[in-house]
Amino acid sequence: MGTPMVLLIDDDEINNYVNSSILHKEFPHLEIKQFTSAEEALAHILSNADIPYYIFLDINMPLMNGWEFLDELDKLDIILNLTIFMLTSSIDQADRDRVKTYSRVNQFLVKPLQRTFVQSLFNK
Amino acid sequence: MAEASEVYKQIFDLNPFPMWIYDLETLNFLRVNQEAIHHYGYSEEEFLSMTIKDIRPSSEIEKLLRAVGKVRRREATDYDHLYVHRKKDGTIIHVKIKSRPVTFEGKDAELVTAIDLSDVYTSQQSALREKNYLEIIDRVNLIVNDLQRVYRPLEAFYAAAEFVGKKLNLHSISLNYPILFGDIKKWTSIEDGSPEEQNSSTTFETPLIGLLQDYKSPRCLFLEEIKEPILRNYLEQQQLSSIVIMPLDKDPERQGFLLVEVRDSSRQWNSQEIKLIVSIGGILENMLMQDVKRKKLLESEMQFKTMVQEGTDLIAIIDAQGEYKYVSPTSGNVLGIEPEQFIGRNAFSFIHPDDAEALLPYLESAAQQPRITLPKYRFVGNDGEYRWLHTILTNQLGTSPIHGIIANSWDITEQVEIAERQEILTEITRFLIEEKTVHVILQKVSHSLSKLNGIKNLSLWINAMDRSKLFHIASTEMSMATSLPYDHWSQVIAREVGVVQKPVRWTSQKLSQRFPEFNNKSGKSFENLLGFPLMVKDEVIGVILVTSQLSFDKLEKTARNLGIIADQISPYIRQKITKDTFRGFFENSPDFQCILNFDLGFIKANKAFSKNLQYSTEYLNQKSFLNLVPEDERERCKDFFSKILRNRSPSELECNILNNNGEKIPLLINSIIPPEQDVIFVMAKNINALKTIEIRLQLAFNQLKRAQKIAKLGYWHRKLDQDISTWSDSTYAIYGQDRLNFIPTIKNIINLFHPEDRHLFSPKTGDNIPSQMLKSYEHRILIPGGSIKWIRQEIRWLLNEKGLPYMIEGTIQDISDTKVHEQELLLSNERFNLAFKASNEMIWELDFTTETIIRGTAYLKKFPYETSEPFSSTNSWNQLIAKEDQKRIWESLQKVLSTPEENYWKDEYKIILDDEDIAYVVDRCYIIKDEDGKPLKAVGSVLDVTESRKYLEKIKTHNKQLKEISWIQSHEFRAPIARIQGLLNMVKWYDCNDKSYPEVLDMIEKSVNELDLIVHKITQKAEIIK
Repeated sequence: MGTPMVLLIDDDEINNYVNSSILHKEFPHLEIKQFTSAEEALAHILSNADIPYYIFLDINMPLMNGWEFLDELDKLDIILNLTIFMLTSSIDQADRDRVKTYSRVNQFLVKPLQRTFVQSLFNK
Repeated sequence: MAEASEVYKQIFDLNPFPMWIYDLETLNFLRVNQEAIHHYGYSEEEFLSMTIKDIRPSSEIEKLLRAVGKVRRREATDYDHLYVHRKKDGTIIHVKIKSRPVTFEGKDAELVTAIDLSDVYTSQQSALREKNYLEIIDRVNLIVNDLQRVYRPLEAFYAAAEFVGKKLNLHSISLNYPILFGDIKKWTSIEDGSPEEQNSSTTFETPLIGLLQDYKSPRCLFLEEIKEPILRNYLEQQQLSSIVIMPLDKDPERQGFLLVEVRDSSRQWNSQEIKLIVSIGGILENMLMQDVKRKKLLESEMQFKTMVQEGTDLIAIIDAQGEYKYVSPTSGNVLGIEPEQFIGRNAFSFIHPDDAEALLPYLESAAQQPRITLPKYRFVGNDGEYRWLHTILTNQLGTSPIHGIIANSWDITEQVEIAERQEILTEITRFLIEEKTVHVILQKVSHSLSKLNGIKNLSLWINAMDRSKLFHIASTEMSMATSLPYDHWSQVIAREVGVVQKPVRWTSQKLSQRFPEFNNKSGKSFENLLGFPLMVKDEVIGVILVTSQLSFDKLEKTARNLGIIADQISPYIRQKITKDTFRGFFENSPDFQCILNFDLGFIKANKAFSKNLQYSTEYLNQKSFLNLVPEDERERCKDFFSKILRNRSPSELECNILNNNGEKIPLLINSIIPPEQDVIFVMAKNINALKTIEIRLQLAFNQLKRAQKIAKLGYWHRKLDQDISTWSDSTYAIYGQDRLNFIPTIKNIINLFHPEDRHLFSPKTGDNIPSQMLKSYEHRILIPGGSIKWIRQEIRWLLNEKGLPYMIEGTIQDISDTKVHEQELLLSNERFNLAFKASNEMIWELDFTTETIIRGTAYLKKFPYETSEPFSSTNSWNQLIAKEDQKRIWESLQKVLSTPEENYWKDEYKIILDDEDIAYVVDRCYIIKDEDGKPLKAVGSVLDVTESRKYLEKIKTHNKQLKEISWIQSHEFRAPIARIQGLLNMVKWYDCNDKSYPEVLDMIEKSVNELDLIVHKITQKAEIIK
């Protein structure tokens, strides 16, 4: 089991940049990887399955959206160490309700990512 | 050899004795000679086809086979005794056999010579039998003599019969000799019966005895030759084949018979045997006759013996002073005193002191007169008890060797007791007749009874009518009141006697153990107490308690007498009590009662009868009942009584009776003839007319009340000149008022009326009513508690003789329920009609009984349809429905109509308008169905939903747009805003990053532009909604 890695999955590069900056500022030693495509992120996880991941996942993305990404994970037959946060600009209640159906998702976060949350997350 | 053979053959053939050769193997005859053919009667061919078994009776076969066996084994055969053969004609012959084994035609055979010795045999047998019979007779003589000597004729008969019976193989021997034996004595062979039956007594039916008795000489009879049905029946029943009857009639006064019975059907009787039976019969008869004589002698001896030794006559010889010189042995039996004890004592020392004085003069005169009879007197016995004696003295003073007075005495104690009892009974009977009240009678009865020997005190108790307790009625001593009658213990004892229903006895000791209070009060006033129930059939009517100082054994006689008297007087006492009771009823009844004889003459009339009709008893006693009946009713009355006399069943008649003043008194007469009496009981009730009406009125009123109760109908009436009405219970109930708290005055009643209905009540209405006798109203009344009831009143005015109303009466009925329903119905009809008119829907009503549909007018302007027409798939409305909907709609409605449990139908369809435009309608209805689920009525409405349909479409579009806007707002619109917020946060928190401000600003600008684009997009969407 290696050191945990943070995956930022969002088709919006600015978002990824902002979030990555916050994480880096708070925890400079944290290994962070950005993906604008969920598929790529999935591929990365599969090829490095033994690493514990912290994933910040956007919902609305072209090609594979956040839900689809989660569905793909469920289809996998391997044991993964994932801590997933849905990070979305949506304030639609329907989305909040839907998240509850995915047991893998730890928390539903509304953009922008808050410094306090990040601090609390890794200062445990 | 052949020659020799021929010689043998001739010897064989010409032999004067029957000869044959038979095969030892098969027993077949191989050769027979001429004599055999001649003697036995078979032809040669027959012989040669038979075996030697065939010429023998079956009983001889075994013996034959044994003999053949011996020959086969070459053992010596025993031909000494005779063999039995049978000829062709069945004759049995006894033959002597000579034989020797031979070989004949190569077979082992035997040559047999048979010499017929039948004649020799028969005479020998006969002699043998004769000898045998003589031996039997001799033996029987011995038996009889032996037993006769010890006077045991019956045993002699049985022993003789058994001996003879066994010898002759008999079934039984019966002896009928009535002078000695009451029934017939019978010996039965042990093989034919059980041991108990062997020697027994039996009885023949009289006709059979008569028949057997009629044979005057010995006879032998076989079943098949008996024609007489009784005798034949007897033989069949007893399974007998033959009988021998031997009359025993030597003594013409004593006749009997001996009957010998045989079951073996092959049994024949020869003359020797009959003779034997006759001889034995003679021996027995002689024995019996001797026994009769002996018995007769014995009897006369006995009579004499009894007379002197065991008789009840006392014979004594006394001298002139009364001293005993001789006393007969009977004294021991009668008085318990042996004769010796009298000798030397004077007779007067045995005589009761009370009687002695009276007897002395008799003894004196006995010495002067030849004979004198003494009055009854008491003579003491060995037990100290006195016996009553009756004595005749005969003067033999001058006669040698007696020289005394012979006293012949008889014990008449029993007779004296009976006489004593009779005396008391006579006395009591007199009381029963003479005295009137039960109480006095019983008082006197108790006194009479107490005269019995040894009674100290006597009390009489009578059972209460309900048998719950015994009343003390009478006792002999007033002092007894302190000890016996009213005490608890005597009550208990009396009751116990009543329960056990038998005489009971107690000692005073036993009583004091049981009842502590007995000791305190009565002390030792008596020794013993006896209780007797007074019984009638199984019922105890009373109890007699008796105390005495005497011991129980001395009280024996009294107890016996008292018991007998109690039994005899009980029915009379009971009758008297019953009579007393009924006389009480009769005399004290308020109704007229009398007893008539069958000629209708008065026997007795009660007080009510004579007093009310004012006749004296003497007058009535001379009259017939009919004399009191008015002439015009006499026939009817006579018929009534003759009917009662004829039918003897109770009957009823209404007729008048004239009192002493000649006034008619109407009576209802009940009459009956009591069972087993020649009188008529007449019970009459005074029924004057008013009373009758009253009774009938009461009856009618009760019926009315019942009827009203059933109909929930109240009744009331009021005299017009009065203020207060009379209400029935139901009326109070309808008004909800209480009889105690509410007075139905006119004012009070008006107040109960609903204010709006009070105008109906007009006390003066009566004035103009007569022309309109009956009136009915429906109105409301106020019920306590604030509710309202609807009632219907039927009112009637009653007119007096002058035709003027004097009373008003009415019925009142609660019709609230009906009224409420009526009102509700009215209201709902009204509402329906209003709805029908006012609704902007088209209301329709379908009546399945008439198959018509009525429609409201709401859509008449929109669609052309009929407002009333038959209900059919092709009617005006259905024609309006779009072609594609018509079938579907009709079927869906029919389906609901035909499904019993469904009562609601709804559907939507299109209507084609004149201008080809389309209207949308919703049609629905409720269906009322009967118990079987068949539709009765349907009420529905049609709603034109064309407008709402159009709105709906619009709203749908709007909704879609709004949803899109909402989505954009929450997703797309928030995206750039969130991004800008993130960038701003970054600058704020970290004072910028590795990127320069311009770069961050670029990023913000980009986001703002994006935001602007989204705002445009939303505005476009919103345009559509407008």
